Amino acid sequence: MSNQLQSSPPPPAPLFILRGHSSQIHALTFLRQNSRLLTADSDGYVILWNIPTRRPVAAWKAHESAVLEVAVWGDNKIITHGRDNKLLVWKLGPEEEAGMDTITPADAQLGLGRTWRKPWLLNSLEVNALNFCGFAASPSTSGHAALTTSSIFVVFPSNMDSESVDIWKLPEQQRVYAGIKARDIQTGMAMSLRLFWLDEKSLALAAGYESGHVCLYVRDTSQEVAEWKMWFARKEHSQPVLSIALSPDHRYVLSSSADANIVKHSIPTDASDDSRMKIMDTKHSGQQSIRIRDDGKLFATGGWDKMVRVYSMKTMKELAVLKWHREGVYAVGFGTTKSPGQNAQSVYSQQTSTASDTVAMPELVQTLSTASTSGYLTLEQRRDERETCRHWIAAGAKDGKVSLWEIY
Amino acid sequence: MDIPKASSSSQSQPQLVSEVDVLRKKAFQDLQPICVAISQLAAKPQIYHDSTKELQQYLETLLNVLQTHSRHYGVINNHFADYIFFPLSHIFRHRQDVPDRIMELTLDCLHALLCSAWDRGATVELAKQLLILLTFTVEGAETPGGAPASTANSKKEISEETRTAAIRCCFALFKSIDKSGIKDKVFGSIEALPSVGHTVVTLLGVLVTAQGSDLQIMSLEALEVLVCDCLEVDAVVSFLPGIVSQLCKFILPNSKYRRPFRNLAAAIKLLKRILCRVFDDVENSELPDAVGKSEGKNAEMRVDRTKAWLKATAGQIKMALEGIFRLRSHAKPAVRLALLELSRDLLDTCSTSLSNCVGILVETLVILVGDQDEDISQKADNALLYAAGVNNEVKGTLVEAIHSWILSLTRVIESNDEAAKVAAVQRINAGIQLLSSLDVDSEILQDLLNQNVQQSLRILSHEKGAQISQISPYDVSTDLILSDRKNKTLEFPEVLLRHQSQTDTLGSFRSLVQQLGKSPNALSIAEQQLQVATRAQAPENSISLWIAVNMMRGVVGDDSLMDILDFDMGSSALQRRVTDEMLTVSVDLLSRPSNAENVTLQALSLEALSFIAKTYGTPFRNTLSETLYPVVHHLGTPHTDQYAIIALDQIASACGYSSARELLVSNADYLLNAIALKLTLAELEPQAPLALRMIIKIAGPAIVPYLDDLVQAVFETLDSFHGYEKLTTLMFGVLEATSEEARKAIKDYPSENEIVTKRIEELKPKPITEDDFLASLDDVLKVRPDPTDEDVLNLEPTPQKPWGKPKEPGVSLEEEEDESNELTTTDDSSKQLAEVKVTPPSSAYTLLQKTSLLIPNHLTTPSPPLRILLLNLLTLTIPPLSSREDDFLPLIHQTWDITVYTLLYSQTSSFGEADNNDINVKIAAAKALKTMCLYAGTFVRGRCIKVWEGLKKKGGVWEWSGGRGRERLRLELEGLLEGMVLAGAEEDVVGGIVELVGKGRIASGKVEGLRRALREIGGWVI
Repeated sequence: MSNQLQSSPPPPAPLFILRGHSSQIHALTFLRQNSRLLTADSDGYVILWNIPTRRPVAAWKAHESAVLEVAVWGDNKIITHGRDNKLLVWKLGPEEEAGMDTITPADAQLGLGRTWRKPWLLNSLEVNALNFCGFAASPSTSGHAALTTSSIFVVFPSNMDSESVDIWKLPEQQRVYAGIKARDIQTGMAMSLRLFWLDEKSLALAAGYESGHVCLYVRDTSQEVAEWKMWFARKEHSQPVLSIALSPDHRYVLSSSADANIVKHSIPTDASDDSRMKIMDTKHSGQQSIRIRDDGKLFATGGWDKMVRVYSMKTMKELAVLKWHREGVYAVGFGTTKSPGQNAQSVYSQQTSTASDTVAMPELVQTLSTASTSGYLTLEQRRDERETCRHWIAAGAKDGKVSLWEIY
Repeated sequence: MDIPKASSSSQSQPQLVSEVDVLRKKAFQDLQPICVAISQLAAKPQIYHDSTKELQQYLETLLNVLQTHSRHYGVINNHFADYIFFPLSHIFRHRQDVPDRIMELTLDCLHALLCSAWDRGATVELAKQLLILLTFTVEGAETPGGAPASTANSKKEISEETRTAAIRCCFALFKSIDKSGIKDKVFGSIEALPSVGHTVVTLLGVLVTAQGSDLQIMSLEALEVLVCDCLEVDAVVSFLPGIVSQLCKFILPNSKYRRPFRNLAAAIKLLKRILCRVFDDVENSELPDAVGKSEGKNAEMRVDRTKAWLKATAGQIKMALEGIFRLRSHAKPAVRLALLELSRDLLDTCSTSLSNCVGILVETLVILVGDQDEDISQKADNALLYAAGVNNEVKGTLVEAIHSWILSLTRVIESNDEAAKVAAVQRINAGIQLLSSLDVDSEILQDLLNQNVQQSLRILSHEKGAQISQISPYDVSTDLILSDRKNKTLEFPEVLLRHQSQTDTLGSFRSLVQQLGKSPNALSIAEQQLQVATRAQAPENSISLWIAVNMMRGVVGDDSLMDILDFDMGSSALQRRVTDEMLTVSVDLLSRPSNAENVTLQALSLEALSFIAKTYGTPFRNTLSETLYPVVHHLGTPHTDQYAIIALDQIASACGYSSARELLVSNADYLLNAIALKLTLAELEPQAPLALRMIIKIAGPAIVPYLDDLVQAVFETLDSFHGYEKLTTLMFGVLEATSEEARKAIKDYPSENEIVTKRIEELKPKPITEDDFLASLDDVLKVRPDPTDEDVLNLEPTPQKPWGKPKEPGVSLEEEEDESNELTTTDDSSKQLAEVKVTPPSSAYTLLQKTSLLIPNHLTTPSPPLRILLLNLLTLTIPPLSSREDDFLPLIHQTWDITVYTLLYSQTSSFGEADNNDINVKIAAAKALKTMCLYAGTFVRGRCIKVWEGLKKKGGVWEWSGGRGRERLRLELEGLLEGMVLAGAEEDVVGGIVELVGKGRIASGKVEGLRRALREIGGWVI
């Protein structure tokens, strides 16, 4: 024991490896206050994981080919974008989980089950999927931090031309803006997009391109007819941009690329490009995925070097290297660091209702719980509380494994 | 001596008058002559020796007749009795001279009279007279009334029987005095004191010195009637010191006399009655300070009850009781019960008068609460609860007593007396229980106790032989887990102190600690103990964990209650917190490296986890992702493996799984994850691979898709630690298990019988039709003219087709033609495959392939067991791998040479002088080669020649006889020959084999297979 204490702290180890996908993970996101993780792979499968139990609660084949991106819309909607030219909106809230299949694609290899029950499909859009650029989404009106509004904008490369992007409105399924692209420069295909509100009326689009450019376009939505103005176009990457991430306060975006650079682009307050940015050479090329934590303190990259690297947002210094995967990491994601608050309450009320069959004597329970001084939580609830309060990082790799880490 | 005058008898029941009179008349007729005869013999101044026999006969007759007639109530009336007593009184006069037998008979006759006529009708005069007479008889002294017993010589030692008879008479006399209502007249006057005193002293004397049990019990009974029923309290007071001291003398262990336990109990009971009578609180509540000395005869004998008297006497009584209470550890429950009743009744009736004795009484009762006899324990408990309920002083005394016991606990524990240790702990336990029943706030006591318990356990664990020895409590093996439900769950053996002599002591500590668990501050104590368990060194940490677990058991209470009350719902927040803390601590402790120092701690942690699982029940499933692996991990740890099995069993049943197996299968994902993390972290403890192997075995093929990264980790470990024999063996053990399951996951390959049949079919010479010939010619032409195609084939690192390898000798063009369709179609299909997208192999296939490709690298190990393992693994993987030819043949290419090398040239020895290990390696190699021959078929035909020549060079193989190992090797080698024939080996080889068979060299059971193969393929009929 003493020897262990004296030596340097052991390298961080994952808390758990989620095994279920049999092909590479392309996208993942935490949802419902870290109680669920959504992962998607290159065979078109999507798995919704229960984080406290580390087991799938739903798995289905969402697309006929690789899933490019996933997102969560409101409490009960999941958006998936596949290379089968489809962008789909599924209804899968807590109530719908119970009826879902939990057989994973890995199980299915043995022929245990070939057909999956799919969640209720709410919307289906025909989209471009010639390249690997996943969609991005934003509330359709300003003033909302997350995708909680009843209608949203989604953005993805145009069906006609992979260099330009279109913005559609859901659930209306209307194209609202089309053909947004850089006019004067050769950008090649769009690789990664972020759509967000700069202020009450300015809708902004950050796009990373095959050429290594990162461009910011802004449109004044208060006017019926207006141009998408390009606020800046920077080429700090020698290789195609692979991923861009938006800070929670919408003040900057980070871009990663097939080269080793990470660039922090400050978003100017008006159209004049003041070119404030920071370039960091990480010496690790091929940073497939970059994400910023919701408190804006950390960001992480997942790269072809099989590592997840965690950096301080402030200093841009590397804080930790998460080494476990044996193959390239294609997707990283942070859990929320916000305290559970009311969200947790609703989560628990859901779960107690499902677990109510174990409560044989409600009257007794009531008397007992009122008797106890503090709030009454079952073992399961205490575990869920603990699990959802962790500061999670999830990483999905080429081999289909998803590693779960708790860090900082 | 005067003969009492017969008084007229009055008949109370008129109807019976005639009958009783008739009977009495009859009796008189019977008795008169005897009485007369006895009178004649006894009335003489001296009874001569020659008349004693006659006298004895008369007395026997008299006794007989008396007994017959006294059966009828009222027949022998007072008058009649006086008549009969008259001759007897003569004999009493001569008691110094007559033989014991005569005295005894006389006394029996007197007894008969006392029980009949005088039972209720004794007169005062008679009673006084008899009292004196009997006392002296018992004492064996001179005639009363005359000179008192002058010298010791004049006393005649009388027999115990006579004495018993005399005391029986005393008993009857006292009874009759009592019943006749004349006790005041007989004993009441102060004048009677000396004679009564004499009687009391005499009886006590007999009691103390009596050898026989009957005599002892008789004297006790006589004393009881006299002292408790006949005498006034004031009179008893006068004799009290004597009575108490003599009774104590009787009761206390004595080397000279053996006291039967029943008599002891009776004596204690007597003492109880006397003390209760004398010291009754009501009687003594208003004692005078002093009384004036009464004047008169015998006044000096009289003791007056005053406050001073009470004080002085109480002090003496206390001393006496202290002595007697030493018997509370007496082996016989009857004695302890008597002590219990003594304490109880004294507390009940004399707690004020004997207030100085309350402490010792309470103490005795508390000890008896801890008695192993349930009846006694229950009675003592009730008595104390009652006493403490009505008397605050008792409560205070109780607390004080327990306090001092706790303080002296460690001192007792340091001694060598295991029984005393058990008693000390039980006493405290009983006391603490009482305090809680009485609602006494004993928090300070419990804290103190907690410290002392800890200290005591520490002392115990330092004792010699207390160290953990490797004892298998049950012979539980992992097979138990593989099997399904048994009748009942296993229980943990005691782990803290395993020395036989300490079992009881520890058992008593356990119930004490569990008792402590019922106290209000138990949870905080348990919490502290858990802290110690994580931080302290051995053995403190084990002790603390042990205390914590057992205390929590106490907190939770009866196991049976747990089914009713859902713990998760019904417990306090603090209790849940401490339970969770215990869970965390246990998991943490289980994750520490296993070594000799940690064994106890980890075994206890397993027990703790099982306990927590029990308290939570099914919701415990929610913790399995953290808790299950640490338990499973210990299946592979020596010393704790048994505990792990028990823990799994208990957790499975607590969580509602039908068996430990189901528990493991249902949570295989958690286990795999934990093992995978262990393997990646290069924690080279052997437990992880062992656990993995077991899980694979019980989970079956469904687990294979989830194994890829684990197997990868195993491969990496094997790469990094090449040559580490133990580790490598362990890792290949895992691979063996994975391969076994992966094999089941692959279905499309032929069994050995099927492949034999297939090969025979292929090799059968066929009549070649024209079409066939042209077709094959076409194929040949199609392949031949395209040199680029061949170049491509040659460029590949591993040649896939035998004809594509020019170095391979002996592949003639003709043979290629002979190989006909099969190979050409293969060629075709492989071309097609190259064009069409090849379906990727299943994960099971990849796993087997990767595993097999590793084998050649490790076959160079010097360890025979590992080589056998590897070769057997190869034999296992080849058939399923043959399902994808493109992947299979390169594998054969890579493994063939090293296997042949292992068969022919293994380092340790040559064929001739092989040891057992070596033979087993060769057997495994021969098997592997045969499997390769069968499944690779013609691909290896050219390679067979090398094997054949090698075998020939080794020579003499076929001549072997002797050892079983060699016989088996020979069998396997012959199997290999068959394989080679079926692989379509060269003419030379087949010829050689034919020759062997022909010469009858192949004598074993394999010969039939060989013959068949040869016949079918080459038309050889041998």
